[in-house]
Amino acid sequence: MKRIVTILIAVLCLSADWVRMPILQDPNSGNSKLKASFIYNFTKYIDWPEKYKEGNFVIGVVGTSSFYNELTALLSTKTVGSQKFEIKSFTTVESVSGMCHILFLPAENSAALPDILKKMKGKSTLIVTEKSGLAKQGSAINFIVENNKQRFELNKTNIEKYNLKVSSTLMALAIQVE
Amino acid sequence: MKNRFYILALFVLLVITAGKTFAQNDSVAKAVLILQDQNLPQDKRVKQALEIIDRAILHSQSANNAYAWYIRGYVYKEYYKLFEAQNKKSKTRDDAVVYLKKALKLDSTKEYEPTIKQNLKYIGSTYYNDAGSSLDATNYKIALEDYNKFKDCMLAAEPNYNIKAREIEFKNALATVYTNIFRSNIKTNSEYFGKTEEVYKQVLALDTNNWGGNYNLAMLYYNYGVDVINQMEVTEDILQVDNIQEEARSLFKKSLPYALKAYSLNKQKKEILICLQGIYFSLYEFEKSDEFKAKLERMEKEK
Repeated sequence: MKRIVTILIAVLCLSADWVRMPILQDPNSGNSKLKASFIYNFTKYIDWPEKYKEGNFVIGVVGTSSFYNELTALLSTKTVGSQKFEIKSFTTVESVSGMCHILFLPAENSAALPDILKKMKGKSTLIVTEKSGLAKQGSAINFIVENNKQRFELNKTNIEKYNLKVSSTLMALAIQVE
Repeated sequence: MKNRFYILALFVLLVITAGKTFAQNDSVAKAVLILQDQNLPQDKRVKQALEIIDRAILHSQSANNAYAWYIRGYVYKEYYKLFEAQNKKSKTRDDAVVYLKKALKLDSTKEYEPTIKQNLKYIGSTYYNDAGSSLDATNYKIALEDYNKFKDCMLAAEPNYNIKAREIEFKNALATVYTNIFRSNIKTNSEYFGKTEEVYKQVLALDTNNWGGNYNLAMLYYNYGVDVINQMEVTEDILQVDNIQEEARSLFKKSLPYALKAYSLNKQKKEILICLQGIYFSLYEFEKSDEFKAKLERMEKEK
């Protein structure tokens, strides 16, 4: 009498949905955005000659780097004062033409720096590279990695060689190279 | 004469008390009989038994009668099963637990202990399963309540019950819910980042070798690091860009040891290779990133 009815023990069951794997964010997007933001800031802290303050503000990317697409997506709707950004892709050094405010040389095309320097002589183009040592070899600004962070070297002589003026704020933030 | 009256009064009182006791015991027995009456449909049996046992328990002697409380708990559990199994907030189920725990406490001879414990475990498992089905962004608070009730039942039934495995399982799942809430809007739901982090750390405090805890915590930090940068305006001032980068770097650095631990625990999981590839890439350690990329490619070729 007292031992009534058998008890059914329910099974402890979990839905497969309980633990879902998170989706990994694309690491490229972060690194590219930081670089693009630095480039945008260069336009604020570097002064171009008067004749460069008309028309579009042109940033050229040499080679077939994915950074061209990223830069276009990030900057094409922005402006420098009244100048709209125009991002151009130059597949080869030979194809570099017209007025270029900034010319970016991706790491994989670093070997083209001497040719770029020859081509840009006499123009007010800020040459930006991203390989160790290039600020000493002629580029104005060179992205480097230091302590797991994106930083940049700045060679004031190389900047002024192209008739550009750099602000003390940017100098203070850069790793200065001579 | 006076003495004779006293003896008579005492006799009457004894008869009344005995009558009440029998009535109480009869009611409990009646409730049990009704439960076992195969001529009645089950729902009627349970409803009637519940009414009878509720009345029986009002007798003063039942207040300390383990059997009466056990039957009451059992009947309430049956009522819950029949009529409220879909109700995650069933008061009947909660009451059943209260009554069964009371029965357990009163059962000094341990006569009913095994069945009381079985009932508590059964109810505990229903709480656990309800906790599981409530684990979403809207109902997770119910899940937490139900999970605590599950623990209460299991530990009442078995004070030495090994809760650790369930605790890890539930906390990992809860942290996933918090992560989803956080990631649905990292600005307005920023408090859920801390909540997620805390719960994963609780998991790892229980078991440092828990793969899910290590991997998910690594992913939480890593993804947030990428988010911090992605949320930045490209036109942000350079000083602020540097601060943002520092914040992101700190998150990537935090992520790395957990990812490496997860990798050391299981080198065959594709997702940890992808994760480490991403962390190293974000820390600008491209050689190491490529190393994990190559491992991943090899793994995919082998499959």
